[in-house]
Amino acid sequence: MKGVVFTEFMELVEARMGPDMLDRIITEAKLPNDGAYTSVGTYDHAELVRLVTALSAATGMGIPALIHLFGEHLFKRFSEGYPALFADAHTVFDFLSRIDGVIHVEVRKLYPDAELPSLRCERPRDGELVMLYSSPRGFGDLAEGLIAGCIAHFKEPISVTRTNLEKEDGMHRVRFDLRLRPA
Amino acid sequence: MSDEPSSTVTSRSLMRERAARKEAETLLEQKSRELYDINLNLRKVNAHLEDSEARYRSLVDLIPDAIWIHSGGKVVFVNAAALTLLGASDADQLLGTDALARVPEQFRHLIADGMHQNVEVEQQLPRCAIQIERLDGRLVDVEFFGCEIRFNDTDSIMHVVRDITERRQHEMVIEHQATHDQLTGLPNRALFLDRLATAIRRAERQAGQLAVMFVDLDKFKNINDALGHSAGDELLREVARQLSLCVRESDTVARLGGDEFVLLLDNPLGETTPALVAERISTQLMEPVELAGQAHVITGSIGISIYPDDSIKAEVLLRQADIAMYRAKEDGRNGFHFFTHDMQQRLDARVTLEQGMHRALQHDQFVLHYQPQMDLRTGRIIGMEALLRWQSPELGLVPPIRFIPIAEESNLILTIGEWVLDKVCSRLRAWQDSGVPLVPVAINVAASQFSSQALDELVVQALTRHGVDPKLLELELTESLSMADPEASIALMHSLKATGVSMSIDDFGTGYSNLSYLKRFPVDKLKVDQSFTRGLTNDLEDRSITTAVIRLAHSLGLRAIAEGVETEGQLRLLAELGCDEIQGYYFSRPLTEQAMTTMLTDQSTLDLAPINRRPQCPLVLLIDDEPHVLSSFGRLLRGHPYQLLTARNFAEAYELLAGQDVAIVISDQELIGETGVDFLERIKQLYPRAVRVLLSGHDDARMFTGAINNGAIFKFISKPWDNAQVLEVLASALIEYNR
Repeated sequence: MKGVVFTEFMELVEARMGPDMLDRIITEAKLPNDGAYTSVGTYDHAELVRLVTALSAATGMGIPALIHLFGEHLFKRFSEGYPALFADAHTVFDFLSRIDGVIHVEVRKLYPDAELPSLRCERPRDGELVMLYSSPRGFGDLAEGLIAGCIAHFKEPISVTRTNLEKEDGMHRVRFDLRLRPA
Repeated sequence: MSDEPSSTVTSRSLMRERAARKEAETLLEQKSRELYDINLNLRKVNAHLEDSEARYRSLVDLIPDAIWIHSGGKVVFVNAAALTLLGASDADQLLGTDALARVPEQFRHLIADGMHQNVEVEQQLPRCAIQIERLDGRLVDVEFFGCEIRFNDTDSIMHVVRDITERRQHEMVIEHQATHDQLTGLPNRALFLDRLATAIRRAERQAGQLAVMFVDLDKFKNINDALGHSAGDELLREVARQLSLCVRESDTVARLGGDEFVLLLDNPLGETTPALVAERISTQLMEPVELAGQAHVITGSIGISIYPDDSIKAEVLLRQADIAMYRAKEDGRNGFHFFTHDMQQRLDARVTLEQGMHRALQHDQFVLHYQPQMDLRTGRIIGMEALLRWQSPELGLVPPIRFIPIAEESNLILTIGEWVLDKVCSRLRAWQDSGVPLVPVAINVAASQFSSQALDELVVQALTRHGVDPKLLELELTESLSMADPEASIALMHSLKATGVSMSIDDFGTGYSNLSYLKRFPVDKLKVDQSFTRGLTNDLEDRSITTAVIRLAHSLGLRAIAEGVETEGQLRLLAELGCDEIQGYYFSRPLTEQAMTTMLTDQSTLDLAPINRRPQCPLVLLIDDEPHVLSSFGRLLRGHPYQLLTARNFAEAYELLAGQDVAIVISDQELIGETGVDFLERIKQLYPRAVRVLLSGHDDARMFTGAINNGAIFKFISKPWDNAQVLEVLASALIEYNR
C-alpha cells in the first residue's frame, strides 16, 4: 500500500485526536518502522489495519466507521493535492468512471509496483452508476468512504447502496449502487 | 508530569519524521538513479534509432529505384534516384507537389490498380509498366509499384519506380536482331513472313492484291569464292541498297539468307506492277559494282507470285515465288518469271521422281544395261559402257535423261553412283567366275561424284570387295566436270589412275576444253559425242569436229571412240577418219546382262566388210523423188560400166555417200528440204572427190551460175534428158573423178 495512505491516516488522527493519540496507536500497533512512513514509500497494508484496530481500541469507535471516515478525508486530500485529476471530471459519475481507466493508469506511471484495486463502473441507466470494488485486501469500507468524499466534493444528491458480495478467486468484492436523486 | 509524556511524544514524533525523511530521501535517490538509468537507456535506444534511420535513409537514397512517398495527396518524401529520374535538381521541386503530378493521365488508372497494402504481396506481383513525365516534359519508361505505408506517423503511399529505358532499348535491339538480317539490316525471313501475313489479312478485307518477288543473285558463289567473303558481304549490302531503291516505302525488302532476297509489293498497281519492278531490279542490278577494286556486273533471277491468284497463304506464296525464280534461272538467268501452276506440277513431278528414286534404290528397281564397244581394226568387242535404266512399277521405264539430272541436283547421284560401281564390279566378278571372256566396263562419273574427293577410295573398295582387276574398269568423266576446276581434276585423276583403272573423257567437244590442261589429264580415251557422230555424214561442222577430236586424241597418244554410231555410212567415215573404236546401235543397242553375257560368250564381232568394200565399177548416185526418173536411169545405165545407187531424198543420199565410194552424184534440183544446188554445194565440202551433176526441169542457167562458177556443179542435165547426152556427161564426169 502506498505510503501516502499511511501519512494521510496519521495526519487525520493527529489533526482530529491529537499527537498523543497518534503516538499511542503507533506504539500499540507495534509497527516495524515505528510509524516512520513516507508518502513515496510502499508498505504492507496489514500495518494500516493494525493502526486502525489500535485507533478503534483507543477510541471505542467501530473499525468500519473509522475507515469510512478515513476514506472521506483521503478523498478531500486528493482533491486538494491533485487538482489535475479533476480538470476533466465535473460530476461524481464522471470522476468514478475515470478511476480505473484514467487515474489508476496515471498512478501506475509513477508507481509501477502499486497494488491498486479494481473499480469497474457501469452506467445501467441515466442517473445511476454501479461500481464493483474488487481487491485482495478487504478495504470496501475505505472505498465507501472515498465515494462519500467524492459525493461531498461534487455536492451532488446521490444515494449509495452498498452490497457485500461473495469472495471470488481470493478477491474481496463489494458493489456500490449510486443513484442520483431528483432535485 | 503531563509535559513529560508530551515531550516524549514530540521527540518520538520528530524521530519518526526524521526516519521517514531519510527513507524518503533514500527512495528519491533510488528513484533518481533508476530514472538516470532509464534515461541512459533511452538515449542509447534513440541513438540506435537515429543510426538505423540514417542507415535506412542512405539505403533508400542509394538504391537505383526512384521512391517517393505522399500523404494526403502531396509528395512528402523523395529519394535521390527519384530526383535523377524526374530530372529535379532539388527535392524542393517535388516536395509538396501533387502525388500524381508526374504520372500522365492515361496511366493513372494503372497506378490505382497497382496499389497494394502488403509490400510482400506486392513484391511477388508483376510490376506494371507505365511512363512517367520528367520535369522537362520528357516521358520515361518505368516499372511501377505502389503500396500503403505509415510514414511520419501518417497513413501514406509509397511509389517505387524503376527506369527501364535501357532495358527497353536492349529489348528493342534484341527484337531487331531477331527480326533483321545482321549483314544488310533488312528484315529477315521471320519478319518478312509476319509482314506478309499481315498484308494478306489487310488485302483480304480490302480485296487487295500483293506480289511476292524472290530475287536470287546469279553466280554469287563465284564472287564469294573468287574475291572472298568480305567482298561477297559487300556485294550483298549493295544489292540490299539497290533493291530498296526499286520499291516504294510501303513495300518490304527482306533477305532470307545467302544471296536470296525477297520483296513484298503491297497492292501493286499502275507504276509498280510486279513486271515493271522486276525489270527495274534487273536494270538496277546490272549497274557495275566496285568489288575489291574491280567493277563487277551481277545479275539476278526473279520469281513472282501473286496474292490471291496463286495462293492466299504466306508460306505458299513465298515457295511459289521461289519456284518461279528457279524457272527464271533455268531459262538462262537474269530474267523474271511469274509463278504458274504448271511449274508447281513440274516440281511435284520432280519430287515424285526423287522419292521414286529413293524407293528404286531400296527395291532394286535400277538395272544396268551394257552397250558393247567395238574395235574398228579387228571388229572385236574391246569394252562396253554400263548404262543405268530405271524400271519403275509406277512410272514405267524412265529414260535416264529424265531422272539423272534430278538425281544430280539432289545428290542422290552419289548413292546411285556407288550402286553402279558396286553392281559393275559384282558383274565383272560373276563373268570372270563363269569363264565369260572379259572386257573392260566403262561407267559414267557424275560431276558431284567427281567432286566428292573420296571417289578413288570408293573405286578401290568396290574393286577389292569383288576382287576385280582394276584394268577391267574404266571411268568416263565428262569434259565439263574435268574442266570446272582443272587443277583439282588433274590431282584426282592421278589418284584414280594410281588405282589402275582407265579413264576417258566423255562428250568430248561439247564443252570448252583448255587443251593445255587436256594434255595433263592422265586419260586413255577421248569419246566423240554422239551429236557429232549423228551429223557426220551431212554436216560439215560435225565432220570437222569429229576429225579434229580423232586427230587430237592420236596426237596426244590417246584412243578415240565414237558413240552413237547408227549407220554404215557413219561407220565407214569414222574408219576413214582413223577412229579407233565405235559404240552404237549400228552394232548393238544396250543389252541386258543376260544378252551381254551371250554376246561375250559368243565373241560376236563387228562386220568390217563395209569399211573395206571397194566397188567393182564406178558408182553413180542419183537423187530424185520421182520413181520413174530413178527407173529410167536404171534402164539407161543397164549394160554400161556403172553401178547405179538411187536415193529419193537427201538423207538417203548422205548415208549412201558415206557408205560407198561414190564417183558421180546426180541430183534433181527440186527436192524437199534443200535445192539440188545447195545439196551439191555441201557434197563438194563433205565428199569432194564425188563429181556433181545437176538435173533440172528449168534450164535457167542463171540459177546455177554461182554453183557452176565455184565448181559445185560439174555438169548440168536438163529434163527431159537425152540418153546419149547423159552418157556423155557421165563419161566426162568419170574422167574428172579419176583425174
